Amino acid sequence: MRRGALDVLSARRRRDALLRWLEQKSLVIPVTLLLFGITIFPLVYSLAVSFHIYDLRQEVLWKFAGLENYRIALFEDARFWGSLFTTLRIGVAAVTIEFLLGLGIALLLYGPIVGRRFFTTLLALPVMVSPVVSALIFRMMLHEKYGVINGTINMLLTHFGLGKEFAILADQRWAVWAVVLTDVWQWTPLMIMILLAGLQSMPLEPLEAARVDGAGRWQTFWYVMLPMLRLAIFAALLLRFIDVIKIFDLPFILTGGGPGRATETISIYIYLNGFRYLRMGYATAMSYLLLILTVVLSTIFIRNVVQRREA
Amino acid sequence: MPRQRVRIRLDRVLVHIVLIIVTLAFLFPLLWMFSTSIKTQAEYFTYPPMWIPAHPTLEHYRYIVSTTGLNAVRNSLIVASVNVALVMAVSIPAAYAIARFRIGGHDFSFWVLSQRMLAPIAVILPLFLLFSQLKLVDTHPALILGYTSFNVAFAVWLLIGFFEEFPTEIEDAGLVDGCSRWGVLFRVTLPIVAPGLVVTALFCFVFAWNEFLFALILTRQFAATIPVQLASFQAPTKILWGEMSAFATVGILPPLVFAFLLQRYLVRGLAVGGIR
Repeated sequence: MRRGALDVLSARRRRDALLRWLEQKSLVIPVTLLLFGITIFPLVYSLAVSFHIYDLRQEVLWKFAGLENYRIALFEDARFWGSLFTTLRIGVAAVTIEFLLGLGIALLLYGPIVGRRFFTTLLALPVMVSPVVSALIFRMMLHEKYGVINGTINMLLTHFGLGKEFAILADQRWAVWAVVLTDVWQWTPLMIMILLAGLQSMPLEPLEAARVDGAGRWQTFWYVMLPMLRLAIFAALLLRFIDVIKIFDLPFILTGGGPGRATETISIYIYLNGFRYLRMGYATAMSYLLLILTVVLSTIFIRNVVQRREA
Repeated sequence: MPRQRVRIRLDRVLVHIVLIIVTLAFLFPLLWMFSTSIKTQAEYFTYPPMWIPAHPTLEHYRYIVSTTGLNAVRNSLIVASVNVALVMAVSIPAAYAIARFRIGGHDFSFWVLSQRMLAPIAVILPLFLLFSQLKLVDTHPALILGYTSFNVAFAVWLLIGFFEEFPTEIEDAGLVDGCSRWGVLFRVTLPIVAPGLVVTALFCFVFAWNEFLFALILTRQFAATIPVQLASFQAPTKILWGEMSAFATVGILPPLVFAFLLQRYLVRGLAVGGIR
């Protein structure tokens, strides 16, 4: 009799636990299904495609090729390495300039500033603009003749007899810098915001102590502020770099990857293979190589920044 | 002593002047675009460049309205808003479960975050193949579904933070009163974290509104969004700067308005929870 009652009780308890468990799981089912359908399954599918010759133009589909596509990309295709190198060049130049400018402006904004919110609000606007629009604006401004930037530089050059007129977007050596300039305009504001947030969350005591000990401004900055900002700086640099590795819109609109291949980034080269030359197998293989690169970088980011914050 | 004070004040004034110059430099491209949008063609094709139009005109805006502009605006509105609705519907319960029960442990939440960092070109290649087999190319659902690939990860991640700030005691009261988890979520928690929901939704809207690569590949004419339509202005044979600027001005209005609303959350949103 007693045993029976206990059994009923524990059965109910077990049923309640099961219900609770189901209820909790039911909360994550929709998201799991969606991500499975929209990213996981497609990525598995494209991994499969990458082991095949999948050429829509020659209408050869699903012809097994093993690792051939990867071998060609890594060991034979100079254009693949060229586009990767171009991407890294743009990335390193842009992120470095963005960081230095961003840190400088963040330090200016850190002091007692009248109307800081006014400045930060206006400075934040470029990050909200579509990269397509940024690229189109700079395409106009960098027009060799009628562009306000390139045109004005040419006017000054010829006026003072300093050199020949030049067209930044049509110049093999300079076109990369047009992409860098546009990226710097668009993303320096994010640097400013991240670094300013880092500065504002810094405890004031060490700064006070340094001042009392007679440290100069430069010394305080170099030995006290910078070490405390280390995590914010690391995060900002890595975050921007992960983004810029994937850069497509800006160079695609600004120069179309040209002149020649001067601004052809890895994403543009993959795009051309997939949608212009219609070599899907080869495009997916290269996209997997790019994925590996971004996954490595984002794992470093998550391990060192996000998890450290959580801990 | 007085000299010292004067020097410091001069310093401060100088900092403000530099800041004003820097801010103007960053705003300049946007102002230039707007100014181009109200110039006549003769005014933007001059050398040296003309700074302020002598005869401001709305002809380029009229041109946009009379051609493909309205269709693109409509497409962008449909795609971005339905995408946001879908993203929020699946992300809210998931973020809530992660914040409350740590479902799947750290691995699940970091896996979600890492989705956000995938290279878009790698995702769009197979999506294009699949969507063309499903006959979804150049339809709204293609973009609506495609954009969930980055927006869901973003929304879940941002929402976890908002839910974690919310004290669990209030929920416990609801649970004791016999509400289910779903009931508590909808009747107690969501009304209180509403501002966080709005912030998340606005960010997702801007990402969908601005997106170019997926839209370029998944649309033709019928479902083309604003960025795709804008990009078609850069054909080598015609240089329609005025029309392009007018359309771009219209296109960036929603994100710019949202920038003012989201001001406090920009770092948190754009650094994807890296820095709080």
